[in-house]
Amino acid sequence: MPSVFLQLETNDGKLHIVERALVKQMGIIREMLKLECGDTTEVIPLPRVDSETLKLLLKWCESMKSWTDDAEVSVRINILKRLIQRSGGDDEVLFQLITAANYLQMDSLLDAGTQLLANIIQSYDSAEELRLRFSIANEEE
Amino acid sequence: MSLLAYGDSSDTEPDALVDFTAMLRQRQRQFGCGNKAQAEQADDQGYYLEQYVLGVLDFSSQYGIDYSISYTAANVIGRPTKYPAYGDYPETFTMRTYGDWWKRAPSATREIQAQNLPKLATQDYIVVYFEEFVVPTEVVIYETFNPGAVVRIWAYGMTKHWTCLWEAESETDSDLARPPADSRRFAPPLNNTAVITKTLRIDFNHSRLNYYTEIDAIMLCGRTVSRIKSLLGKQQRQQLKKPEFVSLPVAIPLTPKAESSLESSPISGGGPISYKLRSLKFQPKCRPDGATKLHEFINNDLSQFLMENRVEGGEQQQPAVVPSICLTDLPFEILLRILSYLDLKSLFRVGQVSRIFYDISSHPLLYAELSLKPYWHLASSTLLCTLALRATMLRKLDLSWCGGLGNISPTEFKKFLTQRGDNLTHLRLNSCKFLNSSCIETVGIVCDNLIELSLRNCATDPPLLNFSCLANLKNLERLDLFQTAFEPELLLSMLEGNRKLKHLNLAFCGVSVNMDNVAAHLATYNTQLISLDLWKAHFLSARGLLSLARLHQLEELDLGWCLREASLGDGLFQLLSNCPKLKKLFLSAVRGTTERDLMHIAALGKSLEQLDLMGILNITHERVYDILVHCPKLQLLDLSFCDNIMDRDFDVLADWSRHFNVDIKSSRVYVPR
Repeated sequence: MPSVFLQLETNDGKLHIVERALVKQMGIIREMLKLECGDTTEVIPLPRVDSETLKLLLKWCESMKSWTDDAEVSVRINILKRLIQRSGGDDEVLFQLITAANYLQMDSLLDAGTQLLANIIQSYDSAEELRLRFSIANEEE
Repeated sequence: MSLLAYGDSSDTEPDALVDFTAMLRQRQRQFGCGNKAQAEQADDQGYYLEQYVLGVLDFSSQYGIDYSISYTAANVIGRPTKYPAYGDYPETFTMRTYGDWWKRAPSATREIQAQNLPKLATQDYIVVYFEEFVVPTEVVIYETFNPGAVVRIWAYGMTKHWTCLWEAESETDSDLARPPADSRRFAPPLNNTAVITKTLRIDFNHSRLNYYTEIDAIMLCGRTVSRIKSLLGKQQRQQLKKPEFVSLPVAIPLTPKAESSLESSPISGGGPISYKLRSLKFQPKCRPDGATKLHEFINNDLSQFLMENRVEGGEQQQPAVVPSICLTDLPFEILLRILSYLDLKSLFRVGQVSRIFYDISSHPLLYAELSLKPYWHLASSTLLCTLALRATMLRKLDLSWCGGLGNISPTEFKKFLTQRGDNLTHLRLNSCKFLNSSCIETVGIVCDNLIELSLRNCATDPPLLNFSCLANLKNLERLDLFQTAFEPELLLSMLEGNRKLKHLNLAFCGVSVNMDNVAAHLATYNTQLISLDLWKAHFLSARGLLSLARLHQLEELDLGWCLREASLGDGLFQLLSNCPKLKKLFLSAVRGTTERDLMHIAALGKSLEQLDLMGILNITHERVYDILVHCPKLQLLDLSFCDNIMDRDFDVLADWSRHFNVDIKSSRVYVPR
């Protein structure tokens, strides 16, 4: 009988025990499970994800669990915003989430993250402001 | 860095001249040094003037047909005739659509590059001109029916630029949150401006209105400028500078408010001061004592100026912590995806940030869909040139409303199309005034992969669409010729050539087209037709209607003001019997509709969602009830101007409306104030 829990190992060596149902949202895990014919007690390695990010990803999966259909983008963006704010509100968190979502094939998170970043970029009125916001060097000077 | 940044000419543009020089003058007074010559220059003691519209230059749509006096754009000319009365009067300007009914119809289209649109997108517009040039202080719009559609007011200045005088804030703006059903003298607060104008453009968004909005008159109030003749003379002598585009990196001043406000954002590379000055289009006059004045200004007033204009001088904060992962660390395809959500203006802005971003933001995948419609006031030949370099994978192009008043040349457009048009699937050129027959020919030759071609409001005399210029197009599924005249022979040959045609709009096509012939052609060659709009078409008879009955895929048919008194014969019955998918049927003012026809509608209109029976005489309550009961999918029923439906029936209709969940429109008599 397939276990209810799966073991994920992040790149810092930590083991995370998670509900199978929850991580079904991660495309890459779905693929792996298909190949392993469902039942595996082995540890699934996630070399490109660190513990902090995985914790956030699991929180996201938790929020998404209640939506049977895909929630509207604006709703997802709000959930994502709150999630990021609670973990410090850094751009870095958002970038990590987007990169992880891309690697783990989590489309709904990737959509929401990229759209959120686009909204942030669109809110600035000048290239200079954008450079300041994202700490990008001004090549002209 | 020099303040004398632009050339050696003593050209100044009146907008900037009035603002900046007035400020200098004020400083000079404070410091006790007057300059009489400058003071006179900026002296504009004209007189206050209120004027009504003298003429209409352009409009995107109207309800009536050109030669008529009912519900046409020309009704906006002159003094208000109906205001303060409230009601549905033909002596006003009315647009063709309202609400979201057209978005819900089978013929609805999707916007190209939708992210470019502002929250309250412009759906319709009208361009009007007045007699005298003024600096506007107030613009009054007299709304006499269903007010609340005005979203933007533009003025065309003597500098040949459009300036936005007012813009509705957001969807929660009180103006658009359905003002009370009463006539209104709408005069929103205008931005502070020095624009000298006598041409206005009013933008409308009527998506939240209950029914058609109607405009009785527009008034422009302002001060005249006494030295107008000398300014005009200067205009003719100099070569006008339009907003410049630097090719690498590209800079576009795309904010509507940029030109009139001193607090405009920086637009291209360089230090903060040159940003400011460039956006002001500042070009100082070099008078003999000019250098001294400048020197004094730099010494005494510059810091004040910087503070007042919130320029981030040497106040840049050091980033507290250098982040370990930067925006540019994200993989290329993710950055591309993020940029794909941006509107064109933001995309260009991002391109100025750094070399990496310039490379990503100019990737052709981001330019597969291009819409300059929201930037109509800035679109120019230069912009087209710049975009041509990037848009190597162009598939959908919308240049609607662009290039008016000479900003885009036909040659540049043809060049653009020749370079990038061969893979186009969707092309929209609504209200493009720069189009000539040679442009249309280029479309026909280059864009043979077109699935959709929209040429709304391109009426010229003689018609643009003549001979065989578009006969090469064989893959069309959508052809929109709303308010555009064409040679009937060309249309017939296009119908023969485009067997997959699904959507056809021939509204307002004019008197010369024999619609019966067109209908016969459609029945023979275009049997996959889903929607057909023949609003105000002449020469459609019962015979034509019978032809249309052979289009079994038909879901939408607009026969408003066709047929008129003529008897429909068997036509409507045949149509309803053979087109079971019919969802939208407009029979506005088709007075030949009989009681039997209405019974057929009830019996056979199982899929009907939108039904317009405006102006059909002798409709009885029984027939209305019949239709409501037997058409379960009905959402809209228009019974305006049906003489049998009285004002006193309003309560009954309201009851039925609730019970059957149908939006029923009817004419009401509004008690005059």
